[in-house]
Amino acid sequence: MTVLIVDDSPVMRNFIRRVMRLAGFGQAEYLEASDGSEALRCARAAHIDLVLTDINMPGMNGEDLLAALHADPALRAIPAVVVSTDATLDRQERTTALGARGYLAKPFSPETLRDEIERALEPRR
Amino acid sequence: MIAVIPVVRQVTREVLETMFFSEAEPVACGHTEDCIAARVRFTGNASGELTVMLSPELARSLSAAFLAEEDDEVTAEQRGQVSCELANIICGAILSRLHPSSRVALGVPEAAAPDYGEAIHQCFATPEGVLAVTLRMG
Amino acid sequence: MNHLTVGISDCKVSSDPDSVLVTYALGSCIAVAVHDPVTLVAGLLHYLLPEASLDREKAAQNPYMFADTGISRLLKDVCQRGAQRSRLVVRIAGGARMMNSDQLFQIGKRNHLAARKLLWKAGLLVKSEAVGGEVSRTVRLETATGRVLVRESGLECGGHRETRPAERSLA
Repeated sequence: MTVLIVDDSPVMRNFIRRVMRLAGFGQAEYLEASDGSEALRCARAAHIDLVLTDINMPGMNGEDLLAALHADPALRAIPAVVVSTDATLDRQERTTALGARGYLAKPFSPETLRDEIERALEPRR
Repeated sequence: MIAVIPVVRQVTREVLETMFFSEAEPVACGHTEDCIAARVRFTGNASGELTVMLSPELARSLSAAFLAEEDDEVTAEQRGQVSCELANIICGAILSRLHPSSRVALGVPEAAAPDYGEAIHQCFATPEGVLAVTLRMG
Repeated sequence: MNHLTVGISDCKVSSDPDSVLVTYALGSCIAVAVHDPVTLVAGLLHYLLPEASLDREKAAQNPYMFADTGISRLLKDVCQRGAQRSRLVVRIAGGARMMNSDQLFQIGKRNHLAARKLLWKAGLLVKSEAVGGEVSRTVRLETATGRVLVRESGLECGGHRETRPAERSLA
């Protein structure tokens, strides 16, 4: 399994990676990007099984990243979870419409992040 | 019109408890001479800036907790990065509650000088040290 | 069924499938229940205070009194009995708010936060928890199944005690 973590804060990427490892994904490979453009390049270069992305980032933000993934038939099916300081309903609705399977507003506990990731990875009916 | 100070208190407590495993009790303010400060600016339907100021011991303790390291393993760079992320999370959560239907964009948080000027200001005691939050709107 | 009682500032570990570890009267204290579902090793810690630095001498005599020394020893104890840390299922209970406390920081909440922080640093996420409120709790951990059962009752206040005898399993 390959997980792509997208956030401009290196310590936040560290936190997310740790949660995933402790949640049972210790064997996964982790790729990191600090903005949407870098993330899109990663997604096109490697087979990604899960994207965890912030919204507010310099350059291409998380919503634009989701739009780009959604617009690409080869990338559209990648499960994505938004992990953001933006808790507005408006943003949640827009990212859900772009295919995001989960949305977590900061702050959240490690356990809450684990639960949201597990939900996002459940097989879809 | 939502009262701002209660939101600042509630958000700061929630952030510290969920992601930093610490608790924050609002207290009367005094100036912390030696502190680590981080600021994030925001623009859009609301504009302004939020600054967090932490006593050095608190910055070290919160960083160690966030990074799952021991206190004495945390570097100065990591303390700065965690303080910036703390400002980012507190600011985003406060704005989401004050302006739940608005589009507000957060800038990149950065190290800053302390801000004790005329603004919305709240101090907190934690078991590890002191934290202050200053919010300037408009 | 072999009941092993865990007292205040105490810890017990078992690999006997017939045993149930039980601790009573959790007010502001925290119980940490850990279980390895493969080797069927169970451990239950009941600690009183968050940090050994509050009383180093007492911590040297009894590490189970404090969250930091207690959780560290609990993990060591279960691993010595055959558990593997990465497999441990962790549940916590307790951390109630004590009445008539005028402390700035409530000890129950401090104990709860201490458990969460130490477990996070030790590489463990909490599966579920029954914490806070103003209730006294009894916790039972079944070694054979890893099931944790919690019973809650009202803390005494002015001589009136409200009891809720139902016991529930922590998910």
